[in-house]
Formats: sequence, C-alpha cells, structure tokens
Amino acid sequence: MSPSRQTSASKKNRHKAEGGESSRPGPDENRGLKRNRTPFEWGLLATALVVIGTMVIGLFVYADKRAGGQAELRVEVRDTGRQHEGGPEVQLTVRNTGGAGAEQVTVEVQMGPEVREVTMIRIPKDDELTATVIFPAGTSGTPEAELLSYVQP
Amino acid sequence: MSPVRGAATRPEDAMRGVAGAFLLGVPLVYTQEVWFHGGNLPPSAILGLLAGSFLLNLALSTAVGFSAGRTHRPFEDAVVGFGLSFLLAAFLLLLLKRIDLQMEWAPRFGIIALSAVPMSIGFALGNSLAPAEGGQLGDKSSGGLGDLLAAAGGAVVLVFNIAPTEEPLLLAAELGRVRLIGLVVTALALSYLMVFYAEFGGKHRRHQAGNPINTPVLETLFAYLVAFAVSAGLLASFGEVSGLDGPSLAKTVVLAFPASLGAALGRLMV
Repeated sequence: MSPSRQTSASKKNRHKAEGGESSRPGPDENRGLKRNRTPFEWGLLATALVVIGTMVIGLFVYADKRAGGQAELRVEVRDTGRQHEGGPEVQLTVRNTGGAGAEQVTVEVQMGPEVREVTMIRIPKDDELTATVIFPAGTSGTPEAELLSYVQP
Repeated sequence: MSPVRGAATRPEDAMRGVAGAFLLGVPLVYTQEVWFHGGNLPPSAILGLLAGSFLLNLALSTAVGFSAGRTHRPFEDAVVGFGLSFLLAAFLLLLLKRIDLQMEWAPRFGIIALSAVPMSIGFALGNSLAPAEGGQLGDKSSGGLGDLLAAAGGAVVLVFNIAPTEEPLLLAAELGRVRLIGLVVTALALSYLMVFYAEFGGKHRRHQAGNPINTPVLETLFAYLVAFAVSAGLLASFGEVSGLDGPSLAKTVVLAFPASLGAALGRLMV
C-alpha cells in the first residue's frame, strides 16, 4: 500500500471511529420527502409545515377580509406616568386596521371612578390617532378604554 | 424503520437554531413599529416579505445551517427554521402581551409574521453563533469572574440600543406580575439551554469546569444577576429607574430578558 493510500485509509477509519454519522448520504438515499428521518425530525417537519400553512392561509384570509372595506378599530390606552397639576395623564390610541376609514369615533376612557369620552373626527384606514386625557388630581387606577361608536362613511 | 443515516437533527441542534432566533429576533420584538406595522401592513406585503425571507433562509441554510453537517438538506432546514420561528415569535409576543386572545385574530397573523422574519434568519444562522471549539480566549478568561465579565459584555452589547427607547417602559407598564415572572423564568431557561444544552463549542469544557460558579445552575443564576444589574444600570443612566419600587423593578425585568440572552452569547464567545 502506498503511503498516500495508507493516509487516506487511516483517515477513513478515524472518521468511522468518530462516529462517521456526519458523512453525507449517497445520491439515492435520504433525499426528498422519502428520506429516512428520526421521530424528532418528523415532529419538527410536521410542526413547521402545519404552522407555515396556518400562517399563509391566515394572511390570505386576512387580506380577503381587508378587501371587504370594513373599518376595524383597535383601542389602546396607557398611563404615561406624567402628572398635570396632580392629575394623571393617559394616552389613548385608536388604530384603524380595516379596509375603510371611520368617522365620529367615540371612545370612553375610565380611570378609577372618573369617566371621559373622546371623539375623533376621522381615522383613515391603515392609520391611527392619539389623544391625551388628563384626569383630576387624586385619580388612580388602571386606565381602561371602550369603543362606543363610529360611523363608516 | 431502517436506521437513519446522515446527520440527523437532534434536539441540541434545534436548540442552537432557537438560540439564534431569539438573539436576532428579540431586539425587533422590542420595537413598537413592528407591533404597529404588523397589524397594519397589507397582508400581501407581509406575504411578500415572508417569501423573500424564506429564500434568504434557504440560502443561509445552504451556506451555514442551524445544524453542523446539515447544509446538504437546505430546503428541509429552511422549512423547519421558518415554521418554528413563527411559533417562537408567537410565544414571545404572547409573553410580552403584544398579542392576546382578546384581540381580533387577523392582525395577530401580521404581527407574528413580521416578528418571525428576523427570528427565522437567526434560526438559520444558529450554527455560526459561537466558535465551534469554544472561544479563543477560553484558557485566559474561563472561570467564574471571566465568565461573568463576558456575560456583562454580551448583555451590554445586546441591550444598549434597547435601553434608551420607550419600549421597555411601555412593556413594563402593561405587563402584570405573572408575565414578568414568566419573562424571568424564560430568560433563565433559555440561558441555560443555550450555554449548557445546545451543541455550541466549549459545552463539554463548561460542564467539566472545576470552578464552583461554573456549575450549570449557579452560572446561569449568576449570569442572570449580571444581566439584571447591567439592565438596571443602563436604565438608571438614562433616568428611567430611580429606586427599588415596583415600576423600576418591572422595567428592569423587561430589559433583563434580552440582556440575559446577550449574557449567554457573551459566555459562549469566550
């Protein structure tokens, strides 16, 4: 055996001894969907395919819904932590994620016993409006907001 | 079933992808524009982004991959990384209350999809996150203090651009006690799995280290404390925490989540 072949053979043996499992499969085995897989690999692949399918279908359905031309308003409210003459400042955001604009959007903001109504003239589609509500001094609690009404032009 | 040949994916390999997904994805999940645009962008635009990022995933899986020796199955790896990234993004968004069961279902898909894009890229890059044989500085800086120093460095690098923003404050104001505890538990679990379970280089050296701090559980806890201290320090520097009150603690816990991931990466690098 020539020295070069000996080196090659010993490399091969060492590779086998180290587990050799990282060697690539031959051209006719382990390819495509028919490839042999461990249960863990099947689980990963099946989960991934189900999730991707759900996401793509969900986005298509979402697109179809948006094309329907309905306003979809999402209301968020948060205490900014700032005070104005002792009264807490609350920030109200209304987002229109639908396929049409909304007008005369009325939102009720409540903090503790205090209730305020905010009316926004118009929120175009894919847009948002923010309003600041100042409650009287001494008001405390977690602010909450509820969409009361809106008009779709 | 015939024996599986070739480099089969093991849970440790997948964990490497998960680590990459969180490291690249978390900074974007901590960005309110993503929350907004995810719920407002036309779904066709989001689908286009997903298609483009899948192709990028395919290319990265061909060149790098989340599993060593697996670059000969790029399509399957890209599908797995892409699909799992949606799940990871949904989990993180639920934990951070960016999506919930009360909100309309349609925008949820957009927010999850947009957040999953960088996560999937991170998943595909998982294999190259840390040196294959552990860091070159391992002999000089391994051990208790060296690891904690690396943890501090990694934490600063990952959260220095998050700390001055409004997002940690916004999240802290909205997250309840259960979610904040969930963030701490998730941070500890991810750090442990990244450093001591995923097949990154230097894993066995870490397991065998004689330093008392280098027992896996203790090192994970100490590294989290370092990440927590780094987060508190950065927030204090920007004037966002003032003492040991509830809101300050909540802000620090929120920022300590990405900081702990950075701390884990820092320890892997050395």
